[in-house]
Amino acid sequence: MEEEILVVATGISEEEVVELKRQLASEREVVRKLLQAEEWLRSHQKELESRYAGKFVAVIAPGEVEASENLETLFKKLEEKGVEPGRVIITAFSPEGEASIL
Amino acid sequence: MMPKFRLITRDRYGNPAPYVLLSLRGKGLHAYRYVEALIDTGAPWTSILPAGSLILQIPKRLLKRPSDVTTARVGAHSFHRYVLENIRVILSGPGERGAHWSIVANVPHVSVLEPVGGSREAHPMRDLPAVVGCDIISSLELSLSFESRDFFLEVKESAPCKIIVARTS
Repeated sequence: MEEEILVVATGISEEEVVELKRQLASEREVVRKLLQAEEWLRSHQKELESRYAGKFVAVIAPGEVEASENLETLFKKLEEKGVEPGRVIITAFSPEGEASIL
Repeated sequence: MMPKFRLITRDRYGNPAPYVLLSLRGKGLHAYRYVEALIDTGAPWTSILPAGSLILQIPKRLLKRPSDVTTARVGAHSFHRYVLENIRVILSGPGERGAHWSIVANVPHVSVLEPVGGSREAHPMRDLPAVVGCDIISSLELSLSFESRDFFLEVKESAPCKIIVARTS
């Protein structure tokens, strides 16, 4: 049996918790797919970094990737596939030899 | 024993870094959109950077100028600091056997950093869409730990939050 865990900050009422549970249940599949994509990204990061250095990368599903030099073009590519940004993992890789360390 | 939640651990320039999926809920915001957020104990506020604003489609009309700090620096870059007020933040990460966990908090504001003298599209800090800062970490009394290959968030039993377990299948 799968157990999903919800940690709710004090100050959120019981009624809101009921609504939250309903809302999050409806998003379960979206989050599950995002986390599967993250897992795949983690195990293929080196290869993706060298292939897409300096680019934005959308991981639509494990093994299914779109990339572009800017987000605008990436969003267009996703739109053509009927994929909504924010429901796929979008990350960016620094150009080779550069790092943004905050 | 403190409940402990595994984070998304990604390689960042050769070292592991802790991430979560972040979603914002509030009037005028697109629901069901998620962005990667780095857990950053050096950041005072949970902040959305330009790439994150584009992915989450945060409308500029919702942004308010704060009364205190109006410019923020991230790395060598300056940003205009705006805030989204009275926002619900949802952080999610991987649970056991394909399930996931979510931490939900209502916060007085989340910072939205807009590029100085440029558009969101032409922004610096491309690989950092959002950061979870000390505001959320401290208000929920979360601790960050690292074991073997993964980062974890721990919630103290005395923390100002409650834990609900929902069986899903």
